[in-house]
Amino acid sequence: MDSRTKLLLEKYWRAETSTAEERLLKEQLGTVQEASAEANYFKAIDRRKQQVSEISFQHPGKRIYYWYVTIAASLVIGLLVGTGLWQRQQSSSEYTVHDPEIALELTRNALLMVSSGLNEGKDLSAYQLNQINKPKEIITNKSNSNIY
Amino acid sequence: MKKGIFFIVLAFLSAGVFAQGEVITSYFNKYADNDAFTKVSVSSKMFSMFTEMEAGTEAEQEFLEAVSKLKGLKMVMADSIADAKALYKKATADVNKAGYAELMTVADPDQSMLFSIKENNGIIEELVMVVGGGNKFVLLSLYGEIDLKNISRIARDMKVQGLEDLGRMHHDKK
Repeated sequence: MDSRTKLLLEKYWRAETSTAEERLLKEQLGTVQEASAEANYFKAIDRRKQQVSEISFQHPGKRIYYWYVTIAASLVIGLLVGTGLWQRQQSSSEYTVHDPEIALELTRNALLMVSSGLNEGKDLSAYQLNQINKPKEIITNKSNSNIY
Repeated sequence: MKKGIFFIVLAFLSAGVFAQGEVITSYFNKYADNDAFTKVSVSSKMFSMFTEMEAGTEAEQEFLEAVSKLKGLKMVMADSIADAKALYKKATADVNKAGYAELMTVADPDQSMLFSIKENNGIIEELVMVVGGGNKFVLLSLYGEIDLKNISRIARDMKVQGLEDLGRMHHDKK
């Protein structure tokens, strides 16, 4: 090993060599007959570099965009939300009072019930409980056909 | 992937918007086929019709004022069921679970009451009342813009008028 190689090696360990210098160093070490520790070191690195993974990867190529999945998903979401809303609507509309007169009376009774409850708590409880019957009476007494 | 998460979050948020009146709606469905329960719903359209009415008396005026900002009323009632107390307990639990804030409870051996509200920016958007005792049960939900003061005034005005009726009703019960 000549002094030039030694100098390069020293530089190499200090990590100051350029890629060109490293290539030169490798060449020089390769020509040296006796297997020095340094030569083995570079050979080992070379071997590692040439290692190929046993698992092969395939490039997926152009990514396939499943546009129909997007549409299907949005349809499903739309359908779910739609049926949910419709069901809500349906479940209430079934009991919706359409006669303004009845509606007003029901509302009055309901508000009175709430109102007296808020006001006095139990003092008016008997009165309130009688109010419970009221809506039913109103509905059954007055034109039944108009309600639903 | 990010988009998907966004939509899922959006779906949950929108579910919260539709949550209004969820307890009463579920009771509507639950007792849809049970004739012992009277189910009533007054729509916002009907409420807007009320506001066009002329008020005769002061009590009427008070009533119409309270009603003017309401958007809906739903009630489930029963007056002849065996387990009203149990149903009351179940309903109050459901109301609490649905995230309503408790306003007032009255616990009485004969009859209990619960008032709960849902607030948004200091405005009461929904008022739920549950009454249960004996064989009577009421679940009521009012929504819209609710002014508790205004509503509580209704009964005070009516009470003056209906005091005699009140006495008579007590006797009727026996």
